[in-house]
Amino acid sequence: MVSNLMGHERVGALPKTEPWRKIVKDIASYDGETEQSRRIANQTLENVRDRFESIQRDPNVHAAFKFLMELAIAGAGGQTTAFQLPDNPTAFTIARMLDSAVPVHTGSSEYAALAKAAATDAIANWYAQNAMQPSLFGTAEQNSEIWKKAGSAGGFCEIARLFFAKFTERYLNYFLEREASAVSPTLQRRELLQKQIRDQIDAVSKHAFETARITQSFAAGWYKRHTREGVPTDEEIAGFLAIAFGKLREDLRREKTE
Amino acid sequence: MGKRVHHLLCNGARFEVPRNAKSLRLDYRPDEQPNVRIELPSFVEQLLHIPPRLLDLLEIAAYVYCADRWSYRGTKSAVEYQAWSRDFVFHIKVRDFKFWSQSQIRQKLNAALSFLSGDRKFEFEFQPNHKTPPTSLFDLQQVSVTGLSKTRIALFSGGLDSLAGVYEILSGTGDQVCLVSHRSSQPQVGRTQDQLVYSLQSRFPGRVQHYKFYCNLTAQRAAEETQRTRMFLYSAIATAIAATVGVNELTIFENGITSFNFPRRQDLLNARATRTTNPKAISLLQDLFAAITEADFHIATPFIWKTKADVVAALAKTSGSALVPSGVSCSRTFLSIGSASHCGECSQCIDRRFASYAAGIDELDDSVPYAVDFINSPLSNDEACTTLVDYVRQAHEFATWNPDHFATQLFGSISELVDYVGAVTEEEAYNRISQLCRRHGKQVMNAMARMRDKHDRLEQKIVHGSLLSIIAEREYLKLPISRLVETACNCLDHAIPLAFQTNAPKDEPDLNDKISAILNVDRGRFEREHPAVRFGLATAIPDHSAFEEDLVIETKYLRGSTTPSRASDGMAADLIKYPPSKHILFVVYDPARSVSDDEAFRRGFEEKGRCTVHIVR
Repeated sequence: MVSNLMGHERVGALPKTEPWRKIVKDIASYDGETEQSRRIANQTLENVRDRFESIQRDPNVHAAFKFLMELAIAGAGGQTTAFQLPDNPTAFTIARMLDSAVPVHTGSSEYAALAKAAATDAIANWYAQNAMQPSLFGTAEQNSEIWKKAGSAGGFCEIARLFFAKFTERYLNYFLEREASAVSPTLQRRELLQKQIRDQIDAVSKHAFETARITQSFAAGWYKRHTREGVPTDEEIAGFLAIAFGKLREDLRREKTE
Repeated sequence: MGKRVHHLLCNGARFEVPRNAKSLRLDYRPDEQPNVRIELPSFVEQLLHIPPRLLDLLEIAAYVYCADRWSYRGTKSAVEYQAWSRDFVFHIKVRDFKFWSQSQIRQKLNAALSFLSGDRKFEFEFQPNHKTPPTSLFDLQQVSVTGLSKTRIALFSGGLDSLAGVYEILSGTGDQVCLVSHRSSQPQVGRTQDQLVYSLQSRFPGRVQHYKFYCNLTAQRAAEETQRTRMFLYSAIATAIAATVGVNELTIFENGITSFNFPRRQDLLNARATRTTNPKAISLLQDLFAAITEADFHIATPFIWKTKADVVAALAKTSGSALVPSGVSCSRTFLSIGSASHCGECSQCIDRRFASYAAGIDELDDSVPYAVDFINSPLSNDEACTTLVDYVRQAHEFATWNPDHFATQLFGSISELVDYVGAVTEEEAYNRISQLCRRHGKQVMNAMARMRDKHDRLEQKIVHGSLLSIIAEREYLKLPISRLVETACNCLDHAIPLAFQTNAPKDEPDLNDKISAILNVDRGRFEREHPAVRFGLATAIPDHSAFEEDLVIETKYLRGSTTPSRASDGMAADLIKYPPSKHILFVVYDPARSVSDDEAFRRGFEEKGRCTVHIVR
């Protein structure tokens, strides 16, 4: 209707500078070699190195992560200041609670959307991993049980791991998907390329998971230490984000140089 | 992250703008150095009198739209799109100051506009004592137009969805229709709307009225084309008319796929994939308009559970099908495209062509002058290529993803919708959304197959860069059901010989148990002996089925007294038992090589269509 008079979607492009053009060229000529895909991901993150380092300080990223932490604490029956699990905590209900927990009027709207999406991914994946039934629609009792599991140190680590991995994956796709369709001459080729990109993101994700595993022992200890008295302070959460993202970046760079 | 705030001073409002802020004075009144065109007086004249609060609404919506067009959202090739989301502060003089100053009204404005546009905030600081002179002798509180209180009020762009919706009302009811359009500086759009309205008025005399509201920037060229707030202006115009004539509902005709508009790429965040008719946006607008009109105001979206192909097919079945070529769907009519009425490669043109082929009215739509015929000709730029390829990719995913994968992949987007689609439960909302997307996906796949059948001629070379070349490797032309059959056959070819290398199946039920296990090794897509299908007075129960895919599987185990001839009889009977919409896969297990000529055996059945015969040994 009205949308037919305004671009239905705004088609983005990567910058015209040489490092980004090289990435487009690499995507177009990617031949399935792991080394090449790794290079594309690393080069992309290298191109946005300063930005990626600053993400941990964004208030919306902080808010999304804090929400997951409060979810874990509330799931275990702990007290949080602003978070109460509803009687029937379905995955969709939790996702909608997240939506109102991440304000967009401060910080970067781009990072807010990415952080929300990554936290939503973490919620959906955690639910799917722990649900007794195949669908997303369990009973109120089953749903409560799923979030209860999230309240252990191990549960929190897993949710945190999912958040960091999905954030990284989405942040990479934020760039890589802009021109992928345009550089492939056939749909078949694009589909192949998509698979290759997915594999690459998969590799990066797994990489991120590996990194997060390094973080896990730290996270579990941190969670236990800081949740005894309730929800950690904002400063403590900021500290955790700095260390977790820092470890992630460090590991990605190590991968590049090895 | 510090953002530069945009201050808009409207209707002569005063404010000392901070030094680091950007500001613009906006005014349309002739004596106030106008820099925007808002033809409010001529609009009021059509309705004789519009109450002050609704006049304020029209001005607010017009200024928001103009500010949206004035403020650039950054380049498409930025590293990150941090400039996309803007901070607006509007200072506007209004007539009904007390009403607009309420914090809840300002919050509702901010909520609707921020979601619709993807901007960070819309703050409003209202100032009192705004006045405009009466537009005519009849512009008095006690004067109003009569005879419109039972009129349906609908937004009208001139595209196929709004045309089909309006035609449905006119041909199916005796209701009067009031069409509402916003006019900017694009004469071609206006001409199209006028021609269509004239055609409707000729067919349905005395039942169609058309209200046009002119608004655009005048003193400078618009810096921003995305116009995400235009729906606010469009619906505000319709609300002003509705409330003035005593109607509590306006109707927006838009198909569900376009309304949901699930992003096709990760960078399409924050309304870069438009939320114009997203159910949440519609709900927020409805909430705002209900507060403004102080009535139980409703925005109806009757096409929300239809695809574009559904809408086009319904229109094609009416006498209004002749109007299809006149409807303009293109979003780039402002481009110089010669004598063409459509660019042919924006997402709306692409959607329209696929819908037309899916609905079987391609002959009619082919008469539309498209500047680029993407089926046979190369796309003109990378942006068009991205749009087309990602459109097809998404449709393909919708057609082929199983429900669980669909839920995981689109969980975030669906969670934003579930409260706003009129479903009783989350599960119902999810099921309806996924079924709609699946139908759209299948329709696009079918349309693509039809495009190939029609345009891919053996004697002609496929032009590089066209859709035909993009899909040249054919995998995507296979109907989803064909791919499912192929997957099932590959699976059985590999697993059955392994399963029975030592012990042959005892009987057909035993064979079917193993086949069921093999087919469901990946995910539970196939059901065993379910469902019962009634045909005539008989009830048929398939050995296996993927009923959502309209596929049933019948197994024949050739051994002993079950000869190829007897199996053939059974297969012939099966062909009659199932309704024509079902595709039947016959799995013939023939370990003793009873069938001497596989090809002849297969051909006899497959020539009848709607079945595949697969012999496994």
